[in-house]
Amino acid sequence: MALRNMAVRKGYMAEPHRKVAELISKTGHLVSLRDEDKTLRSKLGLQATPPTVFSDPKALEEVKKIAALCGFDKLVAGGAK
Amino acid sequence: MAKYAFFLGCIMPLRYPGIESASREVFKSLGVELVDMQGASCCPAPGVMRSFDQTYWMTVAARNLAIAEKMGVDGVLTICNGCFDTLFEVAHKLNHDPELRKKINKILKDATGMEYNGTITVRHFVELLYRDVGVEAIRAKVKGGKNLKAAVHYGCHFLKPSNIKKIDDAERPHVFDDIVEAAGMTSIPYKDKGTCCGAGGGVRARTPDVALKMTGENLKNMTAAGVDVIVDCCPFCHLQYDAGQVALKEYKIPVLHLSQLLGLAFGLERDKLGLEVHQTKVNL
Repeated sequence: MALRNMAVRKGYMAEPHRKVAELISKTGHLVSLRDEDKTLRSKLGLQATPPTVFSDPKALEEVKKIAALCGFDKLVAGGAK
Repeated sequence: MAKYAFFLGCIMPLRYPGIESASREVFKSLGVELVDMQGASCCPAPGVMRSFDQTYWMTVAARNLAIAEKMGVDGVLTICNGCFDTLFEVAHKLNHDPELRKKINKILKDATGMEYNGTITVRHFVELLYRDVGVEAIRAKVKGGKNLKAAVHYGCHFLKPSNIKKIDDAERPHVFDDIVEAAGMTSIPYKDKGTCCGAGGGVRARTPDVALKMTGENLKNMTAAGVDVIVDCCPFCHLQYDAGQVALKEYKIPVLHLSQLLGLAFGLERDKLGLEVHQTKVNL
């Protein structure tokens, strides 16, 4: 695992994996919230927007700050080698 | 009544919310209170995120654990193998290694003002059903259902690494099969039952064709054993079997997450199970 982490720090990462990592560092989730998801959740009697970072901008800022402090946001911001 | 912080993760609330509503209804009927974790994030997903940066992976997970710690609950409950893998492993590391916890808490406190104190137990819902609720209590709730042949799919991260999870024999497990049988189905043996669905470890994201080949091999083995329904315990495996069959254009085996199966067996309202969004029709 440490070797994988070293490789990533040198820019060796698959582009689809980099995109997944970037999405999590920016949104706090690896799947987007679409209007159709909100509609279905409401129909099932659930809160339309899940009670996660999607419902709480302050919580999302915390997750983004962790990415910034770890340098993770910059690590996954560029293209893969 | 036992009370657990309900960790939603990503795929369940956003692509299969029927699994979420089924889980809420099933656990309520079994006397387990699930409490929302306000502001939780992705676990984060172990396949890619652990491989990319373990410090970031652990700190985001520690934030989720710290949220649960403030809730005064008996632990965190997950319905996803990937979420279980991340949260269990990070809790295990941080609960047993004070120096590592100190290092992770330094970042966590700077970012959020919170610290994780190393007190949380992370539970997988199948393990909690088997050990705490019990097979007989589940059987007592069953109000009907069909005796179908179920191909039970354990997935990769529920039981392994078995040296720290200590739930069941990782090569010859039975806990999940026992619950499915208590719900009135017959769990059938099939070739290579313990293999990956194909999606995990970042394979679906990077090489979807390889992921699909693995899924197809599993579907072939299940079909040879006479399967009527696939039962999984992870929304990501669920997605791979459900959407994978549409991509392969060769199979039409209904796929149920265990929470949905129990919802059907307990006689819960079908409208609460979200079966209509499955890509492979559930005609049970």
